[in-house]
Amino acid sequence: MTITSSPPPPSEANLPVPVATEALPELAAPQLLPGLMRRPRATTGWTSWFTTIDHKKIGMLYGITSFFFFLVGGVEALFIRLQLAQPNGKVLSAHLYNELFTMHGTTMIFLVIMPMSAAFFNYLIPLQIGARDVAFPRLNAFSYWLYLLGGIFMYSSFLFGGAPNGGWFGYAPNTSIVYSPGHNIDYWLFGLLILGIGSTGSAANLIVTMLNMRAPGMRLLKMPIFTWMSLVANFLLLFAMPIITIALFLLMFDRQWGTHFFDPLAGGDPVLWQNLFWLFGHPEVYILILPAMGIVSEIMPVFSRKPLFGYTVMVFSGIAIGFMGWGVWIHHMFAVGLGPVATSAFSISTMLIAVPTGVKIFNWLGTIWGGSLRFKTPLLFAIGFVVMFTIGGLSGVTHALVPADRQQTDTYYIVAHFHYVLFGGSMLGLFGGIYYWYPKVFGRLLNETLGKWHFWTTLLGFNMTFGPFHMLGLQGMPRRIYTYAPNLGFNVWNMVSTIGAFIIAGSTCLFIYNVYVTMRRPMDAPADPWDARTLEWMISSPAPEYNFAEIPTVHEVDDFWHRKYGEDKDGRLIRIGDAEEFIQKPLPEGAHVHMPSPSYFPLVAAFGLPILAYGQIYRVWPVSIIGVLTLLGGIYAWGFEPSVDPEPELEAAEMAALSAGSAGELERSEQPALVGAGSTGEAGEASEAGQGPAAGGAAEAGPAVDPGPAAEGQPSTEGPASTEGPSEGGSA
Amino acid sequence: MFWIAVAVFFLVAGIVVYCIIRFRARSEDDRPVQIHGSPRLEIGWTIVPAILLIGVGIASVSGVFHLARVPKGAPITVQAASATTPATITGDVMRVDVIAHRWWFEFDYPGLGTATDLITKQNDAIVTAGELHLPIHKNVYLTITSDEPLGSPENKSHVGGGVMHNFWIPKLAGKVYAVPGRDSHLILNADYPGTFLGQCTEFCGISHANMRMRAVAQSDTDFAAWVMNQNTASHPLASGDQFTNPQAYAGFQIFTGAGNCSGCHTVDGTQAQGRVGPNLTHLQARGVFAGAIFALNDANLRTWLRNPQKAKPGANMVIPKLTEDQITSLIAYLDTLK
Repeated sequence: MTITSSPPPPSEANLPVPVATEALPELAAPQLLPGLMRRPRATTGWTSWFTTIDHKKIGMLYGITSFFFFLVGGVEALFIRLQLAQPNGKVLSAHLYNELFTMHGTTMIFLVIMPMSAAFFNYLIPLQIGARDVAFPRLNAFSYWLYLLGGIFMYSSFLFGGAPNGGWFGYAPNTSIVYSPGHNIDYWLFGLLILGIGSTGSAANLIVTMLNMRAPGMRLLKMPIFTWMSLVANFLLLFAMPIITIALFLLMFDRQWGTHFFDPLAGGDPVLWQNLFWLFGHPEVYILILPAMGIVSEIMPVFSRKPLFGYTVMVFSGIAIGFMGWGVWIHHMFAVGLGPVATSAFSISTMLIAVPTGVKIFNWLGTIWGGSLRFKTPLLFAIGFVVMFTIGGLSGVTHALVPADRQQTDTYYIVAHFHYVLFGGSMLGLFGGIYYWYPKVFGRLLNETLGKWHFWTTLLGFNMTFGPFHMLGLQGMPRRIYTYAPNLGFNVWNMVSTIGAFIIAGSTCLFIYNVYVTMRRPMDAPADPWDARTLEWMISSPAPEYNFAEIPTVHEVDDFWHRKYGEDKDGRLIRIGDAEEFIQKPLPEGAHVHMPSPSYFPLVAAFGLPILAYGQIYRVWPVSIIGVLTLLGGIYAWGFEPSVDPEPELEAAEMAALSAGSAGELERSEQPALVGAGSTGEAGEASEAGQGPAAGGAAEAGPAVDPGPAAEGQPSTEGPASTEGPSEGGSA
Repeated sequence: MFWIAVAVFFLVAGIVVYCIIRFRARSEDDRPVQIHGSPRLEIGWTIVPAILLIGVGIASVSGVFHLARVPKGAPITVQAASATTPATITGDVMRVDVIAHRWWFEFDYPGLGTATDLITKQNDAIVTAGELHLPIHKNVYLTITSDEPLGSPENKSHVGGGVMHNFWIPKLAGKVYAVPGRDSHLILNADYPGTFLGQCTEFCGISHANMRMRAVAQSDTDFAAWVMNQNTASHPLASGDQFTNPQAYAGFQIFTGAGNCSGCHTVDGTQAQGRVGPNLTHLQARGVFAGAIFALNDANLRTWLRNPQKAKPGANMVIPKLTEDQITSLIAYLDTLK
């Protein structure tokens, strides 16, 4: 790799102001509370999981926790199906049924699909864009702990008087204090508030990461498609979560502080709740599906050995779905009697949003058409997604036709629709992603035979469970009923559905067994087992702690693929390089890349919120105060803790290397990194003579500087190195 | 619309199956042509679905406005029987007020009776519960709302007002919400006589599954006969009845006394004037009770009166524990409410 032309020498104005060497130790470690606020250093060992801010570990935590909640939500579903298998069922009381169907929906949406998508966002986005971590690593950890603690908080309600029982949609006035006098709904709303803070923070974090921390050369329209769909989904999250937060606050004020936002007798409006909820709820469903669409868009090209058909259109249709998703929420309220004008307008907007969605389906077909299809498990799940999501999408379009929806709404036909798009869509996509990226995360490939069995039994069980719901809905079976009369013709399909549900349970056990046997095997997965296209496959499996030994420069979409393959004049593939040449070797022993340091305080601060929530539910002021103090104290300490625990030996080594070093050869990238909080920008710059001045400034403890945009103007250099860790954006 | 969806599904599935067979990897080293996209195709499969959807959209919008119409015509009135003809009805449109409660539907027919309608507050209605009667081939214009009457266990201090319910009789019409504080509307028009089942379809609390109803569509003369019966004064048991029907008389004593049924229920012509629970004046003219979940017969009444909450979780009918003899007497009285 040679530098083909020299960049302009840094001018005086671009040089960061050198800092006197003697000042370093103090700068590095302000000792506000000596001994108490030392920052943890360990990144291995089981205790390191509580202080980790590494996006890969956090991604794994999200993945494992969300899978656990998937099992919980699945057990809830099995109980529901047992109760409904026969008319006048006696398996569950009405009380318990209402709790279980509420928690099934709340769990699957807020505790499974959203966090499982977050697992993929967290692990993959920095890898796909060639960064070392996200923009705000401690905020990342904080979001995860809020998820875990919020989920535990919500489930603790089973022990403390009863779980939420107003449906996942919590319609007022049924959830008001008059009609739901217990604490069930309080656990629901406080739990969702806690989860919502985590999601909103995570969304902001990931958006900043994707916009600011891309590798040099990676313009927006050269980002991987999964990253693009994640960008749209996180923008939706950022704007949608505040809406449900407001709705939940209004409900909380009605329940606890005597307001009457949803009480018609006092001038409030019960329909207001539905408007706020669905204004959140509709973008929410696009949040649930777009990441899985991104995953499928990554998998299909790899296993067809062809590019994604119409990358640009796929990006823009995702953006279109994101925008248009805000203009359709009344389609959840077609039967509320809002008047023909409003109803018609939203019928039309709902039809229109089917267009970009349909375009995606056809583009996926265009991807596999003419390809060379290798039917590994990820591709099976991706193709399953396309077909099942088509069914769900088509039933969705039938809901857009208002006279038809007046029959369909609030029946099992709707339940069929959303399970086809959420299970047949999101879950199949997420499972495909698990099989696809498993080697990158865990260093081993999941067993193919078990994977195929998992796929086919899931497909069978899923269609047996939810297919009959179409018929049941059209025959007149309403939703959210704990039992039904025997003479209505619902009996057979309900029984078939219950059997299907247990088949799904069996297929999930197959998957768990697959994970079990796989984790007992040695870590033998190659860096690029699938002959894939994106940057994360350029590093070892599992990914090293620092991600990239050298941050690559990107020239086009699917940059890794284009290093391996070119096209001849007919557009056919020619291999131009072996993957081995481009896969990054790990840094040698003793090489030190400065990475963001772990921290206790995201976990500490996160504890404050459920404590506050318990205090508020039971009106025990001391508990609320402890919660607030924990939260505020945690945030204060987070803000003031040293950005790195001083390591005297390491500092000395770095200083020695600094004084011995000279300007920019690429081998520098393999030496101990010369950057970290408190080290001079001058040293950082010296290691990047091939880069350009702007990148050097990133060494300072200031806002993370993206080497990407600055580097675009450079003459093309093959893979210039940057070994900086990302300084935490604003010490966030 | 449904068949368009079926066609699209088979198109997509068909292409998938074709690709799976035709484009299976033949060797490890296949070199497929690297197609990046096709603007023509992409424009095509954007525009064609858009055109299809515009067509569906037109159907949808015209359907919306059609459903939102107010039917025109003279109100239904009953013509009394003459020497040669039975009672029948004239007119085109019948208005019915539907009030959804937790967990039963109230049906008031303003203009056809002598009771007080909760919505219009006028004294010329028939007030019933659970079973809606309508004449065939006529537009029945429903005004629907939700309410919890003052005095119900859930509305002791009038801070309630009801929850969201959804009114649905599948064979007669689509559904529409019952919203507290607002009126929504629905037009029913039965093509043939019969009994049509319905249910609440918006989660409204613990016994949402037990909030059902029936619509009985009748010929003109049958409907008129039903109206006439509803307007027949029920025969309040007088002191002489303790000898002709002592069991029913004892039941009436319990109904208006120890049982406190009159606190919630109305029986016209007696001191029972409660408006919390269903009007029981012509109970025996219905086939179902308790939110239309039980067939109306003595055995079911006994199960109900023993423990309403066991039969219907959360039921607001909170009554003192009755002995079997008291229940027998009550049932005998209820059997007289024809």
